[in-house]
Formats: sequence, C-alpha cells, structure tokens
Amino acid sequence: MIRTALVLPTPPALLSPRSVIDPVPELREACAAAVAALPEEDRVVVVASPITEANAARGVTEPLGHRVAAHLLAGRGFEAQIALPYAAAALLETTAPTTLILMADGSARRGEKAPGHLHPDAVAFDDAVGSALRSGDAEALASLDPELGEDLWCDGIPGFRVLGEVARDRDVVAEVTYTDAPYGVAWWVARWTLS
Amino acid sequence: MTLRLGRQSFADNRRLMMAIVNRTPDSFYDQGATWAEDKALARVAQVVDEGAEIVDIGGIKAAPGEEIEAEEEKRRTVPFVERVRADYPDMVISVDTWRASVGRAACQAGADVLNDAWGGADPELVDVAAEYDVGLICTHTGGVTPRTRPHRIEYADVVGSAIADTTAYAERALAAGVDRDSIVIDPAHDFGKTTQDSLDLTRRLDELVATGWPVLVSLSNKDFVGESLDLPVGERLTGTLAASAVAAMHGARIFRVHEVTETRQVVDMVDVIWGRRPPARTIRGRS
Repeated sequence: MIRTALVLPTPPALLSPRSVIDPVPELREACAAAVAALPEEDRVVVVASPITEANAARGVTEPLGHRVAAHLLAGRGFEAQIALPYAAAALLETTAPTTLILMADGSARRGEKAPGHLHPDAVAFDDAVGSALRSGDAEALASLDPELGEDLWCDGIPGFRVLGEVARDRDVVAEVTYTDAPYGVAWWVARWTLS
Repeated sequence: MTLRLGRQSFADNRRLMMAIVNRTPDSFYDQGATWAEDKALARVAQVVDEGAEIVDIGGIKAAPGEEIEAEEEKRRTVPFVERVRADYPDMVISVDTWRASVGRAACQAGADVLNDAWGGADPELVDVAAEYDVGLICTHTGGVTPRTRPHRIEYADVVGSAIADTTAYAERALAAGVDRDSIVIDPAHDFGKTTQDSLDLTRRLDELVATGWPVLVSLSNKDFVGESLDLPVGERLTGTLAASAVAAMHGARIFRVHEVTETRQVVDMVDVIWGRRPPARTIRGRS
C-alpha cells in the first residue's frame, strides 16, 4: 500500500560535481527536508522518466531521476522504476507500506532565458500542475497531455501521470514545500499523504 | 599539416586568429556593436591591423530568439562579404552559418571558409564547401538543433563524443570532395554542453589534436568561463586567455576570438615557452 508520495525535481545541479557557490541552495534544502521526513520503515520506490534517446546515444545508461534520487536519499536503498504507462498498475498491487518518489519537473520553456526559450503556454501549464499538486488533484495529474509536455520540454509528465493514477480514488493530504523556477524550469517539492 | 583556407595556405607551425565580426543586433558579447555596416567595416579594419588572419562573419546569434530566415541571413552577411573581399583581397573570410544556401551565396561573394557552428545540421553544406573549394569547420554539438540551449544533455564521455562526431563529419566532408587540407575540427565549447563538459574538453584538447585534424577553439567570453569564475559577460577576458593558453599548449591551430591582440600575445608566449617559436628579442644577460 502506497502511503506517501513525494514529488522531487531532477536538475543535474543537485548532483556532483558541485560548484563553490551552490546555484540551488533553497531547492537542495527543501529536498533534504522532504527526504528526512519520510517514514523510516517504508519500502521506497523511485519512479523516473526514461533516458532520452539522444542521451542514450551519447552513452548514458542510468536515468537522471534515479541518480538525483540516489544522491538525495544519501545511501537509503530504493527500488528504481521507470515511469512507463503500466508502472502505476503494478504499483497499485503493492501491499507493503511504501513510499513512492516521483522524480518530475515542469516546463523548461518559461521565458526567453529558459533552456527551451519562451513557449507561451509554459507558465499556464506549470500553474495547472502546481495547483494540482497543492490541492491533491490526482485526476488533473493523470490527464496531463504528453504531447503538450513534449512541446513544453516538460520532463515530468510520465511521473505526474503515475502519481495521478496511483492516487486516484484515495484521500490525499497535499503539501507543497517548494515551488519556483529560478532558471526557467519549474520545480516542486511536494508530499502527498494517501489514505 | 599545411592548412589551406580558400586563397591562403598556412604552414603547420602557424597559429591563426579568427576575429569574430557579428552582423547581428543581438549577439551575447557585443550586443549589436557591429550591426551597422560602417561599424562592422571598422571592426574588420581593426582586427586586420591587429594581425588577425581570418575574419568570421556571422548573421545569426547562437542563442534562441527571433527566427532568422535564410534570405535575411544572406542580406546580413553576403553583401558584407563582398565588401570585405573588395577591401581586403587577400584576407581569409569565414562565414558562420549552418545553412547550405547561405554558404553558397557567401562563397560566390568571396568567402574562403564555412564555419558550421551547428555540427552538420544541414547535410548539404559539405557539398557547397567541396564545390567552391573552401575550408570547412566541423563542429561538435552533440546533435542538438541549431540555436537551442543545452538542457540536461549528458555524455558518458564528452571528449570521446567530440572526437567521434567531428572526425565523422570531417570524413563526410572529405568524401564529399572537400580538400583534406581544408578541413578543421572544433569541439564547440558551450554548444550542447555544460560548463563541466567544456572544461573537460579544454583540459583534454590534446586528444582532439591527436586525431591529426587541425583544431579550432572558440572560447571567447563564453559561459563556461563566466561560470568558472562567476563573472558576467564583459569581465571574462582573463579567463578566456587562460583557457586559450591551455588550448595553445595542447596544439590548437585556430582561435576564434573577440580580442585579437591579447589572444595572440598569449598564444605566442605559450609557443615561446614550449620552444615552438624563438623569443622575439633576447639580450638580457647576453650582452
């Protein structure tokens, strides 16, 4: 039974090598606090978006989300899964007390200086995701449009959809402890307690 | 290897300064300083006076922004190439473009080099270089779309990727008929890369040089320098020169630069230290 779900973002800036000046100190702190508050006895499943074809062609073998999660979990063991359409169905069969961590980001096209430059729909899209995370609206996450997500350089849609499927028909107590986009990519740290 | 760039050939001990001349209103460093033709001509006169062997004329900024169609890119660059060619008959003129149609028009106007900063995005560019018997700069971008910023681009080995992609591009150019002596490779710092990637490429540039293809480096005032030293555009010259010194030590042949005089001094000094050229004048303790 999934009791807790965390949403964490996946900027590589969270990984080593770190620079002298941490470009993401507030985000790092929020992630650390969220991870520290996880139930100690739970099995942890980390769901990450698959490796992009281009990065796979460049020799990358482990999804970014799993690497970021491993870094944030700092030695705590977890089961790594890929956010594929059938992932949620398998997770729903889980009987052991489980914490689910979704590694997911919003659009990277929020402004002219954003990695993907400005897409006029990016901010509204992220606002809708942020609103769903704050209100525990599973249906809204489950119905996010993957094609729109691709246009908006949103890496997180597969993970958000898994969370939406898993939390559907559950009571959700939602808390968002970080929401910002300091470098043109939307990031959230969110915790859903499911009952 | 003797390097032949259109109308000029350079012995293998020559290091060349390629001076950037932007025909853009919005490039990151000069912010349109040479958008007006008279300003651009003054810039050419200045870099010629400073000893640059090559001018690199570009009509589109690298960063994303307003879409510039090929016809507008030609309007910005081709008449200017004609003008520079008329004023400086022996100057090596490079045009910074990924488009074959623009490259063709530039070659007809007198260009000697096609600087393909976007790594072969237009597969017909090699045919234009072959047809007009001009030089070709084969860059590494990791396969990204022109004018996109890097976002979560990762490499198992960025240097290996740069070597594989640029040498494959060079071989493709060779097969298309571009003269072997006219092909140059460029790891393209910051293009499709994180700062760490660009630092790795700088530190391991000798591996690209070891391929045997002449290597161009474009380091000038780039973000990897700015992020390394936490300095904005406009305060990156010293860092650029340090990176240029490392590239010179490793054997880079062409330096694409904003500041010609400073880079030339650094490269010459490195060559003197390395015993690749004699000191200019030595009398100290020898009288």
